[in-house]
Amino acid sequence: MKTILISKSGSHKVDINKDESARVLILQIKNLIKPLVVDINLNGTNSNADIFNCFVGHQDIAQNLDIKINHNAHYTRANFCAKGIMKDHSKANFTGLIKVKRGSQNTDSFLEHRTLMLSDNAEISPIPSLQIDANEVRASHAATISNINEEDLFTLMSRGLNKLEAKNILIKSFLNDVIIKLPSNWQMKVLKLIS
Amino acid sequence: MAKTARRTFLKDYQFGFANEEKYFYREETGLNTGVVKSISAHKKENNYMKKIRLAALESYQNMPMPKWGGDLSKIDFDKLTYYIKPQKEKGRTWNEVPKDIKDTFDKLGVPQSEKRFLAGVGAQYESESVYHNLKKEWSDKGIIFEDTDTAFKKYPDIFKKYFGTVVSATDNKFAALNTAVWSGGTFIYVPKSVKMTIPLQNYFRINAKSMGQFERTLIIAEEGSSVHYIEGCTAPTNSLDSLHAAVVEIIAHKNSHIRYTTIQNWSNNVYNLVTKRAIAHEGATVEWIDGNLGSKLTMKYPAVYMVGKNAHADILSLAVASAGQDQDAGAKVVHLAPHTTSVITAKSISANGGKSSYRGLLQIAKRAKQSKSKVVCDALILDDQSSSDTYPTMKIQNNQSQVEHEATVSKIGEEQLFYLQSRGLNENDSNSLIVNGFLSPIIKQLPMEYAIELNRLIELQMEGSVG
Repeated sequence: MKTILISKSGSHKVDINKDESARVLILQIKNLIKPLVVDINLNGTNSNADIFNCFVGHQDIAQNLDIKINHNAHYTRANFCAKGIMKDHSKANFTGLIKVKRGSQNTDSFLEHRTLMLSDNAEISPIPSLQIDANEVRASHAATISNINEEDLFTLMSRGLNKLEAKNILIKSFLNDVIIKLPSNWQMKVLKLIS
Repeated sequence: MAKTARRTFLKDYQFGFANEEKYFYREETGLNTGVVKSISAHKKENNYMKKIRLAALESYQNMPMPKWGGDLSKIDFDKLTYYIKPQKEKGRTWNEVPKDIKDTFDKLGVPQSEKRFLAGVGAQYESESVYHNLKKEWSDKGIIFEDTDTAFKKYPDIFKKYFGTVVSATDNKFAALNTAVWSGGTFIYVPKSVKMTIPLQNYFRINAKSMGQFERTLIIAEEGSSVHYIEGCTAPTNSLDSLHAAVVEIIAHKNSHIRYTTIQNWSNNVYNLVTKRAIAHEGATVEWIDGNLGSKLTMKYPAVYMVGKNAHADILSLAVASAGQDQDAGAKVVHLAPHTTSVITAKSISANGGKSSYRGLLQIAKRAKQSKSKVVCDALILDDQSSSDTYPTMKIQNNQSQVEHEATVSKIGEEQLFYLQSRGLNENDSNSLIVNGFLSPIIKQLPMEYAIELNRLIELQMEGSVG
């Protein structure tokens, strides 16, 4: 299985051929005003893509991610998972499209985008979309945006942690799904930013 | 199955009959200042409305055609008739309505439903309202239920206070067109604390070929009042395209409750481009129940702007796209005040090569603290020629709100089918049952008569594609 790392703006294309699997890791921690465009092309039967995206918005940075997952063949499968936090005055735009071409049957695709809004001055605009032209299909997406759950915070604080520690634990556990997929040098960068 | 699937929906469309086109007055085709002035003159309007119309015409002509959504390039605006007056005077009793028009609405079941379960009924034929009646017990309470032209003349103060305040003439190209040539529609005013327990209804019918219907609806619910309005629409099947471009403006004052139900069942030659928007003040609830079954192309996104705290929006959207149809439906909610909540449930079915899309907006502004919103879009896709798209846009500008969105596209589950068949149902019945179950969150919100009708329509539309 090949692994592809993406962290710079510009256009990126990932082609996945018959019976191949790829893991794509996308990190957004810097100011990326020019959009980061990723095209995932599932070109061959039985091709498979796992995409993980971690984003941290801080200070006054802006981030734009535009991802397209193209199911161009039968029995293709893709899973996209994005998790991130928005702090300070950061801004982020996300568009994520799952496209199933006519004639590409028996595909399975899922896209999720979850944001923890930590600052009142941050702004996020996720647009997940679906374009489905086949009927033997499972395609769905989900997006959530919220702050840290007050009850979770209360539980941890009632066990003797102070607010800052409790918050840090909750943020880390929220991001954990994607952080564990990242290479260790990226992990260090993210952990440094969030604590 | 492919063979039956090709049996077009046109054949099954039961409202496809047409009457002879004889009218009191028919405007020449095409649109120019002369036409707008003539419409205004026919309505014996004062300068106030004439000025609004002419200004809107100018902005209409200057605005570009929208490039997103469905294909609008095939509408021939010069061949449309923008105004048809079917009769000289509107009927107050059902007997005053001309016979052929009366027969049409009899076939559509309009007077029967009034007797059975409605508080008031209106009927619009081409550009003008032909019948409007509100039961006395409700008019005694101060409720105004009129066609919009009459309301403009009888209640100019209320009318001028609200007209164009929710959807301005420059809002979009088709709102401008509507403002320039609007005719007919419903005007409802519910006074303070009056609760309407039974619904009001207006029925819209296009009969002529290449006709443009531009009704304008204005609903105002004063503090603590409630109202439920239902509209239905049909047109004859025809090879020439017609256009329906309505504007609906709703103002829900403090703690009021408005429910607006649409069962849109235009024939397959109608472009349905409608702007529907509501403003919800403090504590008000606005519900849109939007059923899109017919038309060639529908582009309609009912919107609620929540400007007062604790306002609530509830939008149920249902779209069924069959052969040759493009249902570009959706919903918009904009949270502008704290503690506002909204729920959008959208369900769509694509069959026989039809295309359905959900296009929506969810915005939570900076001052809308502690707001909550949930958007759920589910789509069923029944054969390999059909398409289903989802484009939900979210814009979140504070950190004290909760937003959830999910969307799924799938076909009827093999396991569900197998299960039902193992209980002795045949494949067709199992399919119908699953489709009905899929739509039930919306159908169970409709008055019973409508729910039955809708179920039947969907079965007709789905015929040959499920099973």
